Amino acid sequence: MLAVINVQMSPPSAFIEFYERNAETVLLFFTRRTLDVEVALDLTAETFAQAWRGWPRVRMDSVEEVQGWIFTIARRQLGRYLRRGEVERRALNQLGFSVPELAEDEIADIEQAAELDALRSALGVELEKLNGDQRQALQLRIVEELPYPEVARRLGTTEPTARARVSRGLRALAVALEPTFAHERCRP
Amino acid sequence: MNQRFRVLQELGEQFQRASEAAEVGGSRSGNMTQPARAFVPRLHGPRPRRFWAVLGASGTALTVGIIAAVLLLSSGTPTAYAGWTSVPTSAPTAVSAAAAAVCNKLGASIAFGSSGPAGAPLLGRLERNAHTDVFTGQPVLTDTRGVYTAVIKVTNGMLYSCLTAEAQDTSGDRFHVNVWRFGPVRAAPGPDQISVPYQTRGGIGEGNGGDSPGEQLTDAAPAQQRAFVQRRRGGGYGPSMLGQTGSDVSAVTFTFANSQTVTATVENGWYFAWWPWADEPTSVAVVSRSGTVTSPVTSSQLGLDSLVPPCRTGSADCVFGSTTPAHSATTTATTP
Repeated sequence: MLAVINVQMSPPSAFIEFYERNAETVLLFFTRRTLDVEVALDLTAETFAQAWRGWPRVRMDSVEEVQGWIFTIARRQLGRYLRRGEVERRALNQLGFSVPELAEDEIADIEQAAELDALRSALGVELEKLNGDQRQALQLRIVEELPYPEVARRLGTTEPTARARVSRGLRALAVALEPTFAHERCRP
Repeated sequence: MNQRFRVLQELGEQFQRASEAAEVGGSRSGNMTQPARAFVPRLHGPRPRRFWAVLGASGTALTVGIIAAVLLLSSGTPTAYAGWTSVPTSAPTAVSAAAAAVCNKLGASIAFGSSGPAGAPLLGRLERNAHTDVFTGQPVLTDTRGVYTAVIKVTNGMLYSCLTAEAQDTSGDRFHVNVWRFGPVRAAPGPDQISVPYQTRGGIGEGNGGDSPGEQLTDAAPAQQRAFVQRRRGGGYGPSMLGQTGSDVSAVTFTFANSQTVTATVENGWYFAWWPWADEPTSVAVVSRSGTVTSPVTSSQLGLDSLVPPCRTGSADCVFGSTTPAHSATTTATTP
């Protein structure tokens, strides 16, 4: 799904067109990398909120360049999330936007659209390769959605260490699965 | 705005409104727009974790907490804490025995990793590195609140608790089970005193596994888990209180800001209570056998303030086997 917009202009209305054509792609991008639709939606919202703030300065010459710009923001948000274990909400908060709540059936639909089923077998193998600390940290943080102080307490370690274990675990998974994402770049 | 997913549609509508406001205003400087707030009510509860749950069920043994596991998930309709009582109820002996048996079985699996849940080998490795005395011996306290039975044991100076919940269906003797560990056991408090709890937040339902021996973990299971452990968006669990009592203590009652009270089970020098909401008590009444009552002990006096969060990052309390100094509440008064 490519952004087909008038790249010579950046009025607010053009941003809406830009959002319409790229929001789903960005959401699925995050879903496949965080394995968590809720986190992916949060990241998507913050990514477009940041894009909205930067939109008046956008002067790009090609559709690919505009799309590359949004994925640059997206990858920065993803990297930040993997490092810190939390989704930045600065732009969302500044704009006063809220992130819609997901219904269960929507989560299933998004997971299906992200083709997470296809990742399961691969993930199962990769999870086994993680060390116990990382695996447990992912369980507490990703599966149980515990705040980092609680994750740290249960791991018997410090909060920075807990954050590092979660992010290393996710990064390890991301690296291992990156080849499976390659075809995304070729999608229309 | 035409998005396949409602959430993206609603998110986009916020941008749409912001865009309209910006174009009407003719300027996008500063904050650019007036916020478009509160456009959708939050109607849904915590999201399920089907994807990860299926991973666990498929034998990948994602991981099981060092000190906790969920075993034998049932497939009944989940109702969060249905049947919980603020005052302990008398458990039928058969139920208590069955609950204890389930706890023992899980404890053995954790300790030796040779049987039981698929995650047991991992637990076994973890436990062998620390303790191999998980949940053996006789209970020092059994607390029953409706369908929930907690069993507390002390083994080799370590404190273990196990909470079971009867499955609310007709499929047989299946339980939800959580086990977790505290310790080492502190020195006993004075005769009319109770100790600082070994746990506050993060008690009931702490951690969970996801492996279900002998049965497929279905999509219903995460909801069951969630109901059982009282998950909340943003983290946190319903508190529980487990600690020691002096030899003269006969009853312990927790009072909350809304005047709700929860009566603990007091047995063999231990007290235990839990409740299915997030708040912690504002005071604790300790009744002695002679009729004296602490008057009342505040949560601060009891040390709860210092335990919130219950385990401060980097503190000794966060490490198994650490030495935790004994604390006790000392204020007492005679009732009229």
